[in-house]
Amino acid sequence: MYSIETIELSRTFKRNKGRLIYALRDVNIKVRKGEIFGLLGPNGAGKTTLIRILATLLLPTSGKAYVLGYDVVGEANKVREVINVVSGGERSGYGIMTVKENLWYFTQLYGLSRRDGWRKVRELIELLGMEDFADIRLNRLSTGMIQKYNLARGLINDPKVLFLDEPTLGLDVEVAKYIRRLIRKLIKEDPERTIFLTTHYMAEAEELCDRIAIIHKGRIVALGSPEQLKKMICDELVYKLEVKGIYSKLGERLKEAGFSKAVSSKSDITTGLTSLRMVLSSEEEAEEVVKWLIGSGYKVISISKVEPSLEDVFLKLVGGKLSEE
Amino acid sequence: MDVIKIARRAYAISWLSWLELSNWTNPLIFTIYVLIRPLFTLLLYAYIYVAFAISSGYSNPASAFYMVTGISFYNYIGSGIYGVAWVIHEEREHYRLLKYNYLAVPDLMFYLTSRGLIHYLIGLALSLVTLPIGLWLVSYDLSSLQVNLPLILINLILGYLWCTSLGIMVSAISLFSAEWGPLIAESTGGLLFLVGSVLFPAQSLPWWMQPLVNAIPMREWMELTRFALNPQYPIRADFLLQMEVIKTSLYLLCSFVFFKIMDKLVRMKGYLEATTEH
Repeated sequence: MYSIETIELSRTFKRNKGRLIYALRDVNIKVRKGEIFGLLGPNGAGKTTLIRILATLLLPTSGKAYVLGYDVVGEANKVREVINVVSGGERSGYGIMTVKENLWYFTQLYGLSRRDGWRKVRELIELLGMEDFADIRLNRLSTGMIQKYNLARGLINDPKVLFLDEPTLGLDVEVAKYIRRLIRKLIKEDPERTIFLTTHYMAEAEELCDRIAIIHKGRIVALGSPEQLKKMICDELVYKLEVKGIYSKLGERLKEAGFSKAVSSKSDITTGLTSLRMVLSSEEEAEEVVKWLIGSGYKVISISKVEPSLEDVFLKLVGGKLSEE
Repeated sequence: MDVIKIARRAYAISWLSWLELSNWTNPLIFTIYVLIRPLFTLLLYAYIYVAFAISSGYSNPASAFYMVTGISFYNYIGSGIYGVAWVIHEEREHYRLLKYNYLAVPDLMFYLTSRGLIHYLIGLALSLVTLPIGLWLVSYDLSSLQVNLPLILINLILGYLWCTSLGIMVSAISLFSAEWGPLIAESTGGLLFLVGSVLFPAQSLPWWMQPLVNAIPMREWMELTRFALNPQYPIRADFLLQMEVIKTSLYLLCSFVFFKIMDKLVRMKGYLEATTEH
């Protein structure tokens, strides 16, 4: 039995004038127990919609979805008993109550006894290192502290499947690192637990996930381990170019010139340079690109071949960077 | 069924409800805040009655009793219905926690029912405080009161059940609207005031409103409360009690079915977490 299984899962929304928008289209995924499964995609790709369906907050338009064998539509109550959801950038508690009070409140909703509830609260405060702010109201906490609390709340019922929706969104580097360490620890402590994580941080997905699905416009466009995904572009070459000047549309211009569908560009006003990352089929094509750039009046500062990353896989499949979407 | 677990959940939810109501100030200011509106409403009506009695030279103790008991005990229903019907809007729009509560409790109806409890208790306290003050203001002979405590208790429980059921149905509707939630909650309280024989007999309302009067058990509840305070109050208590029990049972059944349908529909539409984003 899979921890999560979706079969031809689709979800549409009606927009202006009855126009149908596909948030998810024929999604088929199978997530094994004990896996950290990542769903990678830009904003609006369908990541949160999939989590909402799996967490029983939204019904699918068609298709089936199961969590630990329970149908998310017909057995929603059973699904809710074994899952929990943590969303980045949200506050999943009452600002008028302290961290401790909020956690205790949720232990009671989940049916823990008074004694077990307080024991759980103490355990979670220790696990998340929240001793210093456990007695402070939530509305006085920083974003990082709130996200630690969010994670603690998500662990109250010892969920067998934990959905993490952009868990490091808006966090500073140190807190994000801490959260990632904790996610790994959660799986280590309970090998039966499954973590389903959505993110648009490529490095986070690569670092944490056993397998990754790339979602674009509601469709799963690739699925595999980070290594397997990188092999998808093993026959191709990834080049990094630097051009003097700020050209925000340079990537698009190169695409229009027919060089590659997989180009990302980024301008840095501090250095006055525009960096390009391109997935190309051969060295000759790279030479062609340089010729075209010089011929079009651009000053090429450097060109180098780089190791393919998950970012390049995404670039090739989707045609743009996550942040550009 | 694990009764202790249910009781613990209900306690925690009621505790939250109490904190949300009272967290902004100290107990004394909160008590004044809660009391001030019902007391001034009572004073307003009581002095209209007194002024009328003085200017016309005619007083009517039966009318005074009717008016004061209506205004006092409306606090119980008014506070309760608002306490239940307001929850969806408050949790979704203000605290943005509806989805987390939705996932944590086995049933959102149970959550709504428990959230209302503290509002009913406050409403009851207001009723018990305002009643003697009101009767004293209109110079009603307190010795004519003969409180039928069992009937009062039965009526309070029935009131809690049908009013909460109505609140759940109203909540089910407000699940679909982020903007109209507060209006729906407040209008329902106003509707109960209008059709519930609070200030005047509901029979005096126009004919086209009578189906609404008959559909809501508020009139029976109010009249039985008056009867439970004064057995001389001229009503057919047995008949009204039967009607209230039947209507309450129907309300319980309807609210359960209606909420389940709306719960499914709202998840189908994707509105469970919808906010106005203002």
